Amino acid sequence: MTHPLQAFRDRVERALTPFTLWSWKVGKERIRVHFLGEGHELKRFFLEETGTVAVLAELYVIIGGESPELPPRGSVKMLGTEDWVAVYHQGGEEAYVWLKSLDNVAAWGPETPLHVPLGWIAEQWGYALAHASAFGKDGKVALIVGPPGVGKSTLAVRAAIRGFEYYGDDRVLVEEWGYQVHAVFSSAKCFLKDITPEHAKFDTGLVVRDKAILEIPVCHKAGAIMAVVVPTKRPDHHPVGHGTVLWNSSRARALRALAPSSMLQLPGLGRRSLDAFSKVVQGSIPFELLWGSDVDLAIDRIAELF
Amino acid sequence: MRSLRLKSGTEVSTVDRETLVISFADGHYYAITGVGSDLLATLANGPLSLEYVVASFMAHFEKKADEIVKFVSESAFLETGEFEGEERLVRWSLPYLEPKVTTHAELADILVLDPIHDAGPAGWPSR
Repeated sequence: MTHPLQAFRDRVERALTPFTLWSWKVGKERIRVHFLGEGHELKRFFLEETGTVAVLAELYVIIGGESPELPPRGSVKMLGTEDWVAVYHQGGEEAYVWLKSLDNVAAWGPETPLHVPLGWIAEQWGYALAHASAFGKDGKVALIVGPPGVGKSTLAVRAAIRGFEYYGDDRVLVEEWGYQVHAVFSSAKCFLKDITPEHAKFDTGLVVRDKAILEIPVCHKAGAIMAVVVPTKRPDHHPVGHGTVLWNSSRARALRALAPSSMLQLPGLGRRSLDAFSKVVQGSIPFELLWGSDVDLAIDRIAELF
Repeated sequence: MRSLRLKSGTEVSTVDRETLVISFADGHYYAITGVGSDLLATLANGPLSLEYVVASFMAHFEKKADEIVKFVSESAFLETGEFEGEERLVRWSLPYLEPKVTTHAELADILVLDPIHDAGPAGWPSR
């Protein structure tokens, strides 16, 4: 039987496959992650590619034991609960996540605390971690933004099933100059009640609360943001497809849907991220989508933009 | 002279004469339109003299001071204090549009879910 820490590490590896940061100074780079756990050090530099890899930041994942005492060095960001703590030393290019136990971390992805330091590191390197999903065609991407429950995950996962390019669910990176979206996680989530036989090929068998964790095997790394779509879901009792409408919105409306939920869910992001979100909505076309129970019709409306 | 400034723990962005203010102190965010957006777009770059704000508002729009004073006093994300530094121009736009503030509190619970640890004097959240 696979050791729980090994299984966790394997999930992290799979889910983080698309994650890349681009540094203009040193080229395409990644964050090196170290797993330290339960008394015996499990260290593996799992994101190293062949050849020389310069490391933008070291992320230490510490599992079990007491929350580590970390000496303050430079500017520090910290966030956490009794079950986990995330720490980032700005300038030191080191981040730590302490997890009390793997029992509190059901799966990799936005559901875990590990996205917190990733967001902080990304901001330092010119990216903003957005609360959004994204799908597209031929490298042209629609960013789906808004508060929980409007259908971001449902639309992106269904689009992936239909063969559209998948760029991420719930958390994606946008460049600070606002033109491109970058994938972070290949994982996605879907309400258990919405699982269909078509979702089976993506299902990991993992469940977090009332959501199944999926793995999208083909996750595109980056695309150009063409549109920012703010969905609103009609109540379930509406007739199928009735009133599915996509129309031009205001850039201010798109910013209201994108920035607060991204930044309040990840305190510590600052003006640099807000400026990035502002550039995203100013460099793309904002839309509102009113949709009902026919997810395919909603996707068709968005796909007309590509 | 009194200064007018954004409260600490807020971030501001202006698009198309609408300013978004995100408050990390209470998890609220605000959408401000009209001349209120003009004022906040300038305040995003640092404090202003309150007396100057009022005087320039009255001169630019030929309006009574009450209208901008009411906006300032009722805005939860603004505060006043001792003014230090140099005067800066407020980029008032035309036409005059009454300042309106829409408060959104639906995301405030997120901060309750993620209690913030003290990061010490040099680090966040004391940005």
